[in-house]
Amino acid sequence: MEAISENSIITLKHVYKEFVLSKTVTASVLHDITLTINKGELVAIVGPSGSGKSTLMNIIGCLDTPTSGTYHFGSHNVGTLDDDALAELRSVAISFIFQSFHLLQGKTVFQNVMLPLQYQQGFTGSYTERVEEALKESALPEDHWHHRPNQLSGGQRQRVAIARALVAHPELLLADEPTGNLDSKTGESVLDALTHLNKTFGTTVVIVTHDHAVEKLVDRTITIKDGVIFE
Amino acid sequence: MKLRHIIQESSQALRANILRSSLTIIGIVVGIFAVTAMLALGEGLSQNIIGRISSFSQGDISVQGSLTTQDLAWVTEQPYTKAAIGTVSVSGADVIIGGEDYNVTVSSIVGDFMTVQDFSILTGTMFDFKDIEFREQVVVATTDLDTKVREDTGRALVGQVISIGGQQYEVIGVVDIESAGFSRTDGTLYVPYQTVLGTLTNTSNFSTIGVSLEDSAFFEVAGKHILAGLNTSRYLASDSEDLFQVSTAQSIIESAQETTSMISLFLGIVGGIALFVGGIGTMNMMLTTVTERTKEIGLRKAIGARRRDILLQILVESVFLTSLGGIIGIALTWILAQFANQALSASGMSTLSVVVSADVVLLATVVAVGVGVVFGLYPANNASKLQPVDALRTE
Repeated sequence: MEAISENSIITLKHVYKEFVLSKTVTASVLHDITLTINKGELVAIVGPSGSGKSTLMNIIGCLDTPTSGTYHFGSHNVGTLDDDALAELRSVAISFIFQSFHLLQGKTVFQNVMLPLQYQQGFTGSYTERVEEALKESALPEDHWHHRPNQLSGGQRQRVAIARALVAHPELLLADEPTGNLDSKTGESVLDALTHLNKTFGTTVVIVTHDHAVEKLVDRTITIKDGVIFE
Repeated sequence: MKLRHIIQESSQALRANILRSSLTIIGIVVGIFAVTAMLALGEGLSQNIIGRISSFSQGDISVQGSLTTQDLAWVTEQPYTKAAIGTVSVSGADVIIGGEDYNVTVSSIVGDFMTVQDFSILTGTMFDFKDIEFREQVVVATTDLDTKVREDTGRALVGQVISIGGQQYEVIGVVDIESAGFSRTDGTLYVPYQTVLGTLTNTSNFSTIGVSLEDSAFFEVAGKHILAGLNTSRYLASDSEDLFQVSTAQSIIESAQETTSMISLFLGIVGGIALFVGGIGTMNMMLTTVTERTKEIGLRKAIGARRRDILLQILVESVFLTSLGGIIGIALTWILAQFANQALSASGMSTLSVVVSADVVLLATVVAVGVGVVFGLYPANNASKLQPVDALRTE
């Protein structure tokens, strides 16, 4: 068995992912993915629609498990963890930013950002302080903190999603098409915010996108096509 | 997730769809109201029936038949007898009080009636052995007759001279029991046995002998002994019930309790059906909620919610709905019970009441919470088993 580098946060080895569509039909989405991402890297996974990049992100984010192959998150062998252990790992170490924001409409901005902390086992700090800190970092104006998501613009909503991702102090931040629903100017400011987080806090950031313009902002680009990666 | 956060989350989710939550709660309110109202009615009926049995039964043992003064003397002498009375009752006697006709049961009585009937005097006095011996024209009335006369004439009954079968009697006291038995009369008048012998009653025999026992636990043995003694004196088989019937207050109450329990059970089942429908409504709402919130559940799981967190949140929402419905349902029953009791009292049926007992409230609360758990468990389990990646993908 090969040793896992202490510096790596994501280590995928010969990962395959297949979806069973019916008793006789399976769709093979990822083929023999072997990939290492080190702590503190800013990486883009780029590829066209249907290339398997979202499936790869789901596996990296511990939302899904490979059909075969191994995935280590830090020192954790993800394949050996049950649903609750995966949930706990996500709550303390992994945060997501989604294309469609996924904010809860019944909650205020402040309550949305607080949610990940409520699911963190053994969190003993001040909820308010952590939420305020995250909201300030995401540069959302203070007078919007107690608004509902439907009272905000697309860019502001994505900043709330960034604050929600930051509040848990994650080791890995996964952004799935974070600029997909935004105009180019707002999209740029969101990407700037992600770059800033990576440079300031050393958070590992993985951006999954089909937008090649992201490439110039990141340390490293991984291209995926038909379930196979190229660097 | 801490319990206070789960409660906050559940409360927010229910407030977010206030109309649907309210409609679901109404379903539970109707169900819990039906159950509690039916049980309260059953409890009221039970207390009423047992109360009436207690009031008409004379002492621990009651012997019916054509009984002589010798029989009364024999029963009184028995070692287990504390006291015994003989009575003859006349229903629908011609009674005139203050110029008005009343439908009254007249009960002529002899023996230690204060002990056997457990009378206590409210106003005036009770006739004593001298009144009986000297055939004094005195009577004692029950409270319901006193109340009726006060309402009709504005005068208290004690001290009035009344007419029974054309004879004049003075009312000397009021005892604190209501009219005996199930007959719908204005009340009962007690008169000394010897006073009305040969006037109101044509026989020297009693229709009933009431016996109070030294130890009421021996009612069965004593009852059998009395029946055997009376039958032997008539050369009958000791257990014959041809001439005499012996009943005990305890056995009648036990029998009545069995009947009222069956009535309560039946009423409870009727209410339970309504509650079951309310429970199905709750499950329907929670299943719809889970389907609508699949993406939200996916997000919660993505940011760290465990199966237990989701399961508890949906269960708490369900229990919150049914508990609130339960509280409103119980309150509604209590309020309507007050109105019903006032109405029953106003219509002269004060002995019948709707009783919202602590047992009924406790049972309804437990059932309301239980319905929330039972009907919330399936939707909650479904929600908790959703895979985050599938849930997030739903449209």
